[in-house]
Amino acid sequence: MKIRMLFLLVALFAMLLAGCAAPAAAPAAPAAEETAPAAEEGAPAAAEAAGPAGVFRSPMRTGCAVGTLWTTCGRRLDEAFLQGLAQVKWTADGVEPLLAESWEMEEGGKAFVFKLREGVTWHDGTPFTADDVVFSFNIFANPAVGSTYAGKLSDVVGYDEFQAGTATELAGVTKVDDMTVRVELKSPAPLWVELQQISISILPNHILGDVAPDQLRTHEYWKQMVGTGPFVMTEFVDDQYITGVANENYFLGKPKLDKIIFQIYADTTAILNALEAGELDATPYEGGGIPLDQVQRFEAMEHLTVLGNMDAGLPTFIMLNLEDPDFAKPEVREAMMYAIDRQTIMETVRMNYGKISNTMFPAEWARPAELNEYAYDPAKASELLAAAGWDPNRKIDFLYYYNDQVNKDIVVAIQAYLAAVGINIEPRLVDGAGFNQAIVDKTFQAGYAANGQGLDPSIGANITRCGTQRAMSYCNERVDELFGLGLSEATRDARAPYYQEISTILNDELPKLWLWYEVRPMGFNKRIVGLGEHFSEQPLLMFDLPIYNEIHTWYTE
Amino acid sequence: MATYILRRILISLPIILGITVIVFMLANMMPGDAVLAMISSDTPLEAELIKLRQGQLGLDLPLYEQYGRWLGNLLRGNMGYSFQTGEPVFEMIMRRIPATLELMGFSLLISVILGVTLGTISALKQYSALDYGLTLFGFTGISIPDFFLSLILIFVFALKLDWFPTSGMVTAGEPFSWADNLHHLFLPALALALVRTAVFMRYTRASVLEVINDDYVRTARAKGMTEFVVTARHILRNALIPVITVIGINLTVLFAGSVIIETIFQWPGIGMMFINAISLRDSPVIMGYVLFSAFVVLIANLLTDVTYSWADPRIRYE
Repeated sequence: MKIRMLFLLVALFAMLLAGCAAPAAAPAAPAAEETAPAAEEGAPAAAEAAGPAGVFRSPMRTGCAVGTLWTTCGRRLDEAFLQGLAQVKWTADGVEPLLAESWEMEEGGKAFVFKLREGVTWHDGTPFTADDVVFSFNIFANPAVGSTYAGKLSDVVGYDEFQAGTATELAGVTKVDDMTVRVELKSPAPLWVELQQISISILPNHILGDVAPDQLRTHEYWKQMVGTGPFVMTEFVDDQYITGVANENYFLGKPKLDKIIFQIYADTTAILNALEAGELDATPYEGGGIPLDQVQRFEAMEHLTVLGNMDAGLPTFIMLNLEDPDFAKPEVREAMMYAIDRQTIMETVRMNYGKISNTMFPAEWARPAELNEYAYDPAKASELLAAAGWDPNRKIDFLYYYNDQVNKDIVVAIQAYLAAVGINIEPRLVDGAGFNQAIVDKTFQAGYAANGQGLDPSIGANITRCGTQRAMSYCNERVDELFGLGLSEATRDARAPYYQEISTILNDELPKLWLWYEVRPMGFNKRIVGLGEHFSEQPLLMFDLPIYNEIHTWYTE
Repeated sequence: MATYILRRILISLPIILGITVIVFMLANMMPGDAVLAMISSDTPLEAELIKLRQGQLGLDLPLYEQYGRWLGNLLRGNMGYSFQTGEPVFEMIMRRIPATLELMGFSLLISVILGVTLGTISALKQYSALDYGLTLFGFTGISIPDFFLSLILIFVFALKLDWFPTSGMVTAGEPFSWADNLHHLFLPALALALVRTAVFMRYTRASVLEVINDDYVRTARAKGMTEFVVTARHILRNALIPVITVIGINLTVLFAGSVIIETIFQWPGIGMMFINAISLRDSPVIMGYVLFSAFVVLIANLLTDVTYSWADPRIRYE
């Protein structure tokens, strides 16, 4: 028996040696073929540029794969598998039809009549009809479903009754005939299709119509999505990947790619490693892209197209709780602006990525030519603070949630600049949930944050409107009125004066301390033709812009 | 023996219950909740919608009531549903367990075999250059945190040499093959195993040195047995008893270590699930994981004791 134990030990050791050798040797064979030409050139670039032909490997964040209804990043899947009635163009200057062939606006935007595209079928062959559209709008708005996007339908007649439980459906959404749907709004909103409707993906009534709304979340559909999009979902492996193959019957033409794989990652470093090693073809929108201090390193990689200065449409600012008697004083906020040398931070820590901002809107047309620039002036800051009676012994809890090195360094720089004039912040790194909790609890004092601006500046109202949580008690009725006026106009030229006036007010009153407009550096493997090209044409990258718009035209070399 | 095992299990039940209470409290002391964790700064959610979702998930109830609900469900055999995906927690764990076991099992195999073999060699050749070399390796291994080792392994073997993939369990979208799977397994298993190898090696060395000069070893030699038989049957059998305890203790350390390794290598096991659940404040999943790991610790300790008595017949449990 003792001998047997010894044999076992020896055998195990032998197995281990074999085991060590096997994985190294066996897969080394195909790998060697890939690296062979590279080895001759002395650079591994060729291997990284290679990849399976006809396959696009897209990154996906864990937590995003839970279905379009419940998480804002879940819709990254929709561009491949599901579709909406219309989507924003790449160039971010208007919308183009998808499942709707066309639409008509009634009474200056009081109602929209969508003519649906004929001959579209779901991936299982069932024809797409107006019933699917009516069903989907109702599902998104249904309080029992609890969709993150429900608010996108708040302009529709009957939304409030539905939320309050006095109605069982959206009264404003009606089926005119099999191929026509009419949506009635509470008040005219000419930009409704462009700003709100784009967030609603159309779901199959014939599959989900009979599912109880509160059971929808656990339904198996989300792992075997039947849609109308360019790809047909074939496999869903938890925490690993989701695959789709080209939809032969896609209404805009069969995709040139054979297959799409959403590879799921839990952290940014792993995504960047995979991109560098050529195991992945793109950076995701979620997660901030390539960190600023690594952009140059990625730019040097031959297999990648890197867009380092991609405008993220995202103003970064210091958020202050205006209920705090100190921060309620305009002089204190002004002093803080003068105290921080944004220009130096931009040139050093940020390596000139991004643009200094003095108001909220990243879109140039929404800003007037002249704004107070709050150039670095610590003497003036001290004067203002003295006038406001600032207590230099006060300690301020300062929250931030970006945990990359550049943003940490920025927070340290801000801390030093503010300390120089007698404002002592104590930075505290929290995660997104912790940050949100402090806002909800009203324990929030100050913090470093950013806010995504959508296709139109009107979305900025989310952080300034009277009574909104993120406005932090800021309230200027003129601003709210101007936002309303902007939304009532259909053309950019007509909207511009309203938004420019808002820009001026936010520049004067400083409800937030404007720092800069953020960039989102993206990297794409050159083997996917169309991907990097599309993104380089794009003026800015925003969360509600479809990122894989026109994916059916991409191909591998 | 059977009564002993049964008694051990019964004693463990209140401990596990206590652990769940503490973890439930801790999980809920983290700022934010499942609804707030889902909101991105890009799209602030209306206050009414936040309230609505919190109500649907039962997050508006007092903490003791939330715990009572969870425990009540557990006693009925239901570990609850994920706040984020709505999936049953039990299924989520079961689907991810094979990946974790594969990673842990392979690491343990590497570390036990390498650790015991090298430790024995080190002791037999005490104060030789080889012994000093292995001692240096041992201290280095014990001192390097495994997350740091992982980053080095990825940098050298995946990014620079391109021998192994940077992350994942299989090549996404390809039909499953063992060669591909092992190719992906190698780096994370090595990262997890090296630290443990060093620990096992040091313990084995110390333990072998302790018995190497004992009377029965000399007697065995005097009987004319070959050096190999003496080492294997007389030295190792006795020297390994304390090492078994260390391996048993390390089973749980390995389990904890796999959380970090899985996250770094995107290994789709329950460790990665746990980390994601924490950042998404998905407390049913956090609780499910904790309950599961409490069981693992319990079983690992029990196995250690049982193996102990098997290896040393003098040890008997009543």
